[in-house]
Amino acid sequence: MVKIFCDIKKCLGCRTCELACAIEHTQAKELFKALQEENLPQARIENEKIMINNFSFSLTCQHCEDAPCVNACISGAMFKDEKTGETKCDTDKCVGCWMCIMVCPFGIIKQGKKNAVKCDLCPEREDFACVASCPTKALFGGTREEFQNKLNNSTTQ
Amino acid sequence: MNYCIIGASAAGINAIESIRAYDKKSNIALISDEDFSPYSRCLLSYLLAGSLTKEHLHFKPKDFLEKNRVNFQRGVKAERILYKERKVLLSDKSQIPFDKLLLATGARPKIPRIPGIEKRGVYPLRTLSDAQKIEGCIKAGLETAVVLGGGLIGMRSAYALAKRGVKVKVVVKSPHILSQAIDQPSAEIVQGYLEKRGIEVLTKTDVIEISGQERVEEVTLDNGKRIKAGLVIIGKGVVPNSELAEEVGIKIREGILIEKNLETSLKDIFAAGDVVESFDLTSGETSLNPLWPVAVEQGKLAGLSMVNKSVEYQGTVPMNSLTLFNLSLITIGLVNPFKENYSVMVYADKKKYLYRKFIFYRNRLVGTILLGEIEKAGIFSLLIRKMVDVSSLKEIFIEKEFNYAKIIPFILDNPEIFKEKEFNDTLLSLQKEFVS
Repeated sequence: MVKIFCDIKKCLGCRTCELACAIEHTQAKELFKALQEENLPQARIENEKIMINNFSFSLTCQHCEDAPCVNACISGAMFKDEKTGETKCDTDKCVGCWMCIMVCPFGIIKQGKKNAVKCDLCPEREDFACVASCPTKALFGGTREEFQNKLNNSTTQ
Repeated sequence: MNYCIIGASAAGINAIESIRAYDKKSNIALISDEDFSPYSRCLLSYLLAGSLTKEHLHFKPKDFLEKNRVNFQRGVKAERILYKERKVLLSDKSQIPFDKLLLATGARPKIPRIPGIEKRGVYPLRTLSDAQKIEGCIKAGLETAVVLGGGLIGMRSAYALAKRGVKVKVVVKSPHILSQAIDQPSAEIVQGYLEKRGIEVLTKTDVIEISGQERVEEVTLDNGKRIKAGLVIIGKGVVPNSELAEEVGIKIREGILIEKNLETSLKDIFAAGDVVESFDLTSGETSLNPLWPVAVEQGKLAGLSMVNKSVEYQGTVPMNSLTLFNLSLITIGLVNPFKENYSVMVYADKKKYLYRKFIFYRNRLVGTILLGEIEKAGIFSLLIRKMVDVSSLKEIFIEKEFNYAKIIPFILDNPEIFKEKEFNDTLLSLQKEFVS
């Protein structure tokens, strides 16, 4: 399962990822034009302060294996992609009942105007907007094993 | 092997998915007394509100039953279980054999005994056919309606009608709306909000008569007041459809009693969803919890149990989510503590329609009401479900900045409780420093 990981020790809490994510999920894909769109840009990633060592980190959907949001969804909008394991939201089916928000253990599903807003792993691009924007390369898009390897390599160097 | 499932809603359909994950060959029969392909009941109020179409009611892909090779018997009622013969007798006199049977028979609306309740224009909102009758009234130019009961269904119905331009009055016996789901101060905030938007709430009163020629024209309250109504919606809660189980001798209290593997007191007969009583992790008591996510979870586990997977259902945390206009409410667990030794924390800002309440029992979070701002609700439901001592955390619950990061130190300290891989995934880069 590919998802977004964050190296907490590299994260400065600059929130560039939030901005990049919000802009990526607009029609214009550009800040000033996006601000004129009907739906204001909304980030699917969130930078949060941890109460230890002044750390902060960026968190987005963990695409849980046994996803509580999928189990709670009353409309069948939330589903697991059988091939990739990704947790997806079919916004056409979503009615905005917020049952998913009620059970997301990470508190990372957002209320959109009419439907749930969550990380979709940037289907319109090859890479990930948040990862590409991160100035310290704290963010990583890949599998758990790949991220683990990356961490191991950076500590041995 | 023959699997038979009675009831084609959340529990029944999810059980099919579990069974087919492990058993591709055996027969699965699904019996439903409704003459529709499976749909989500919870969406009916959205259908009435006009925010979706009938096509959107299906919560599984259209080819779900076909793909899972289900023998779907729709529009027939399961009339009797012949336990010795291992057969279910249907209303069309046919019989379905079973080796494993799942009772996912659900619940039906409580219909109060009020003179005139049988009149046309008086309906519950439980089935698609109820919704179609109500839709018919709206299309015929309905102007006024009365909703009996201020529970979740009552409030969702009232909202749907208001969205369609109908003048709605909600008649509630209790001192406030949503009396099972929230407390008085938060209910008053919601009531105030609704009244500004044209939904009138009449509390501490009840309808004693429904009158009109053939159709309902008005209702009379116990205080003598009469209210015009072209439609009455009954939202007085539900009762489990447990008769089938009762007749065959299955143990029942209010609903069907189940073991941890979802089996009833009769071997090879399982039960899940609104028809069962389950252990409430927050109150420590067994009770009816007719809620969609609970039915999904039980249905999935029952299906696994039916294919002989070992299953241990710990119990449920009752919870619900309600959005009326732009006001969202999430309520989880025990919100009106009835025993001693509970402590509460409350934050309220009536003008902004904000309310947060946290209920603790011996340093465990057992319930919360979140009104207005709900986005972090899932973290609280996690803490409630895990039944952990939150004394080191509770001071920050009230804070606006509360989020997942705030519970990270707590998760690091309790890896045996937060053992799902996903928690570890968020902490991989911290592991070396804090764990080893």
